[in-house]
Amino acid sequence: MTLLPDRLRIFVVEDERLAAADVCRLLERAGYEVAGVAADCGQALAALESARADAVLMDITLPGPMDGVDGARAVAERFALPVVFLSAREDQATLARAGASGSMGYLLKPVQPAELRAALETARHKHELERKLRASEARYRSLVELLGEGVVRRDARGAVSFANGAFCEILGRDMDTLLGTRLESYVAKGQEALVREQLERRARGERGRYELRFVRPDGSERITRVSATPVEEHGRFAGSLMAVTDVTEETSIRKARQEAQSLYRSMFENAAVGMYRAEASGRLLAVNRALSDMLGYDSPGQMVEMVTRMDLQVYADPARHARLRELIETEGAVHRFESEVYGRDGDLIVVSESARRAQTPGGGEVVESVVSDVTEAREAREAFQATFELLQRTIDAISDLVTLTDLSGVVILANRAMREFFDLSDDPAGTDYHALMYEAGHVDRAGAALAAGEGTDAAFIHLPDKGATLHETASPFAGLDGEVIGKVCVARILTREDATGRAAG
Amino acid sequence: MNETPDQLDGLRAEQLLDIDSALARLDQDHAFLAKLYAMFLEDGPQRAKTFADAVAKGDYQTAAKAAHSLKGMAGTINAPALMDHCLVLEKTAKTEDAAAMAPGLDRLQLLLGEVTRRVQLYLDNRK
Repeated sequence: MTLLPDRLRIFVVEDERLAAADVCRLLERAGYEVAGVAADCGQALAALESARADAVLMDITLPGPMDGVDGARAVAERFALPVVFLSAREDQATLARAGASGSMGYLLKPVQPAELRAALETARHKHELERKLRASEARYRSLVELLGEGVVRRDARGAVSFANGAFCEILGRDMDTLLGTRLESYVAKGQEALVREQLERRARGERGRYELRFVRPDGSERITRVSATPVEEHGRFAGSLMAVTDVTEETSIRKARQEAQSLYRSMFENAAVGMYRAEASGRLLAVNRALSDMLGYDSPGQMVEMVTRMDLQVYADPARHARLRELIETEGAVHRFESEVYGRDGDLIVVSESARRAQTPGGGEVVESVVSDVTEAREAREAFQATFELLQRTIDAISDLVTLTDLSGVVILANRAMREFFDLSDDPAGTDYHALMYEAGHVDRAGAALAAGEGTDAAFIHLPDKGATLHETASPFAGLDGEVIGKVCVARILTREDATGRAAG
Repeated sequence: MNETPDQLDGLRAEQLLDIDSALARLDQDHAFLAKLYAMFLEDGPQRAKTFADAVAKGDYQTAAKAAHSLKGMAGTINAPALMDHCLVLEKTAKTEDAAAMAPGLDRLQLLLGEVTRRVQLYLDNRK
């Protein structure tokens, strides 16, 4: 009974007719078909062209230029058939050669039926496995070639035993140049030890990820990220398989981004003005030292931790915060937006902020704001406003025409009598006092000067349009530093009807 | 009946020609064994003569090949002592040591004679 579903056809190469007859009979008895018999390798190779054999039984010592070992190699190469050797006792050298020829087995004469079957079954099985392995290797290889990633295999001694097209491209060298050479020859100066050390790690069974810089023949460098795994064959370390990704462009972009980020961070952290970044919802993401100092927190970290609701915990009027967000939402940015905010200890601080919407690298939206403490400025402004209003009310109480001008004669402030006399608006600032008072009338400074004190100009002014004569004195006034910054002009209405006569008199 | 030469006294019958093992291997196919034996009677002495002639001429390569062939035949017909001796002769021929060849050649004739005698006896008994 045969172990095979189909009758395997076996070709026999044996120069001794006695041994040939014996093995042919055994084959037929075991259920195989004899595909042919040849007495030397030349005959066998010729016959195999048409013999439709599934396997070959081959004597080792054969007449002619090729012995059985050479013949087995030729059969495997030309016909991809499994070969089983037939032999009487052989010396060590012949056995070693036969072993290295890639044959599938070895049968000793006299051939035992069970051994014959076992050898042929094993040969067929091994051959089928190898065929499948070769097919899968071919598929795997074409897959590896399709990858954009470089793939390189190093043997246990570190020599390149395989490299795909992408890896050759990274190195700027062809496969023939790389095969059998060591990777150390292609890495940047100082990285040779890393390459050796990584192979030692693979030998210990460790996987690894590391960065490696390769130098191309034109001297340019490629930065790569390597992911390597040990390769074992027959339970022994057989080298390393490396996936190599070119990250040169990615790295330079990353470096530029890191530099920009570090510059931004330094500006943010060291700025003299307060800064914060918050989510659109109002949750604080980061604040700088200037802002945490301004609002009385121990550190930026503490402020971010403690402030969970900006609208309720920081802004005195939540509606003000809502307005700020609304403006940012609709306009994209706000400038010098003033709000009252609470410091950590509950003090009210007035801040002015300029804020804008910004995109995070992840595509999210944040608000970035620059904040100045304007409490003192606002207080000063308010104090000034109060003083200004007091002054206005004071001069309004005077019945003469009182005007404050700057040195060029432009009105800063005018009292009610002045405004009414010349029909000026409630806010006459910016009016040209000279045009109003001197250019429209007749000015007599000589007569008036007699009555004026030192540093004070005096004049009689006749204004025909108004039908009035005025006596005007203009005295310089100084700022806090003593510097003259303008004039105080006081004009008394002398007459409305008969001003000319009295003035002349 | 024992006509085995004295020089081969130390060898058991199955070392000279193991008929039982051969039949077992061939599923008791006496006819086929007889066919193999007949071939051996024709080819064996011929290879031995080729060996002796080559040694005489100092053609050790041919001698080694002849010894190898005879070794294969002896193996196939289950004649282990002859096969072992042929292996020795094959190796000796490859060393091209003429002095070592002479005693080897004598023992070859002796062993081959005894194996062929036993083969012939088997064939005669079958008639």
